Amino acid sequence: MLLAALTRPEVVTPWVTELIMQRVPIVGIHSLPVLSRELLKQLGAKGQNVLLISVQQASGLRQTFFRDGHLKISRLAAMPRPGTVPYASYVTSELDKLRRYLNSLALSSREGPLEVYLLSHGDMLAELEQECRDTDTEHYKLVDIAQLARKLKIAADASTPYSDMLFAQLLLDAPPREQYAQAFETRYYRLHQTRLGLLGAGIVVLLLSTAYSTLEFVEALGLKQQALDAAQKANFYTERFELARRGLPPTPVAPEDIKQAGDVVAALQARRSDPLRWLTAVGVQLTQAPNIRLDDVQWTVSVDPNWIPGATTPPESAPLTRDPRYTQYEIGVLHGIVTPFEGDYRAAIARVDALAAALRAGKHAVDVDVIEYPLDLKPSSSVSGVARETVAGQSAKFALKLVLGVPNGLHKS
Amino acid sequence: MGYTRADWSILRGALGMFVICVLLSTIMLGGTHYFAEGMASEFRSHHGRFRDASRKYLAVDEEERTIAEHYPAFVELYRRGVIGDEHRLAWVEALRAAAVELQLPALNFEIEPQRVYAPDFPLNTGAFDVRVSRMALGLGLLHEGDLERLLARLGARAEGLYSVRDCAMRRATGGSQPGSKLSAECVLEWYTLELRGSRIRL
Repeated sequence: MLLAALTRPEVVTPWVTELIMQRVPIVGIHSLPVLSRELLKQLGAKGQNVLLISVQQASGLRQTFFRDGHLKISRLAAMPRPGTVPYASYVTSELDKLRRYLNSLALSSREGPLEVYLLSHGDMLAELEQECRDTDTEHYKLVDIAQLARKLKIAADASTPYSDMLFAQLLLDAPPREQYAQAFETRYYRLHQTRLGLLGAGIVVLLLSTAYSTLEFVEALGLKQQALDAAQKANFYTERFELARRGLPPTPVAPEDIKQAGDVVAALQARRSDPLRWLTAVGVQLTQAPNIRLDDVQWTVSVDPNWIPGATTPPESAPLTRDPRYTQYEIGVLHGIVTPFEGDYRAAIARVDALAAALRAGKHAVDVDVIEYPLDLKPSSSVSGVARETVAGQSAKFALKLVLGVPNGLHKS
Repeated sequence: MGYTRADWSILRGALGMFVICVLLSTIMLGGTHYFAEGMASEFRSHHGRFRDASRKYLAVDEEERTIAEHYPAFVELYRRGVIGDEHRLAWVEALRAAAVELQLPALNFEIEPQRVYAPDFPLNTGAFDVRVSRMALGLGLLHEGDLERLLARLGARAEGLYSVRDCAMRRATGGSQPGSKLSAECVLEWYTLELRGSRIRL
């Protein structure tokens, strides 16, 4: 349908204005011809040219023409009061007028007859049966309004020649999208819908929360019951445990802690340390080096092989990596002199190196480092001395660091 | 197109109803959630107590075995001052006795206050705290063997468990203790075990 409009809005406007003033929700303003399209489906009218004729109590005789199911034109004619003119003759005369109009506009198809559906009831329907005769170009279908009303499931008595009830029902069942009301005319309907939506949403929220709360409450009651059961069982086992414990000797700590205490002490004992093992390792080698005399020894034990004896903070550099075979290290620095020296630096250095090599070959020696030689020969060092000094005034001091690994952290192994 | 006062009068009731429904729902959900949380908490608490009690009950036999096997050693460690209170007096007496026996030219000591020990190796101490008292020893020795003998006597006689942490030994000079050939300074750590937050009493 290209265009549909209210040709006389002044008929509708006062009604609409009054309804708006009374804040009555208006869903839409519909025209009967547009609504008639729905009626064709109920009538089973599928012809190419279909003319639907109905009588409305207020408006009169309505003739609506459809071509291939599409609404083409609709005409309204005044309808005299029943009984004042022969009903059937009047209808057929109005039908003739429309047919001429259709022909003049060439709106109907020539390939099929014009199917005329006449809605009426009772005597009027009987009159029409007498008057309307099928021809090649016109086929009449007389429809009893009462029967059609039953088909539309209208509960009220439809023994009337007027079709108003049928259209009202069609409007209620499936209002067409095409309608004439403007936004301000349907605002109360939208408000009404919003109101219903809010109420519905509120009820839905309330119902859902009630359902959820009920489920949670039931679940909580189940937990409460389980908690009571657990408390009962806990008391039962506690009593049994206390009874069983009475047979055991009293202990100052829990039995499981007794074994734990033993384990902790054993671990501490396993890591006990003293400098004797390290001193022995050095002493054995010194017996083979009679020219070496010790003056000072510093010793410590640490899990870090880079630790410096006497230090209180971790070393800045860590040249030695931890050996997985050892979990603890004994680290000692010994200071001594090579004696007799006799001014022979080369021989003194060789003796220090020999001692270092012997220590390095010892069991569990992780690192042996000569910290100080009798003469510092490193290119980065500055060296001073008196070349012609007497032998008596000279000494060959050295310092050496020995790191021993403690296997598996056990000193006694 | 804005809403007029008349429009609001249509919506007011529904809006109020909606708000009431939401409020009621919130209160209901909050209340049941609070109730359910309380019940869940109560259940967890009782269930934990039940698990603990049943585990303990089932472990009584094991406890009996543990007590039979380990308690005598535990008591011995307690008497030796390794578990429970440390025996400082015994340490000092042992030191003095060793110094006399070994005829050490000099021996002095200083014991620091006891503190909780943080080992530098992994050690599961369970319900116990390992505590340590550091003892600094200053010794005058006739020869290096004196240090070995002193430590051996201390280990045999002193009531406690110790480990030597640091030691420095140097040849005696004119300023050292008279009669000493060597001087030594050692730091010993005496370990004791105590129940965390409690005291062990036998």
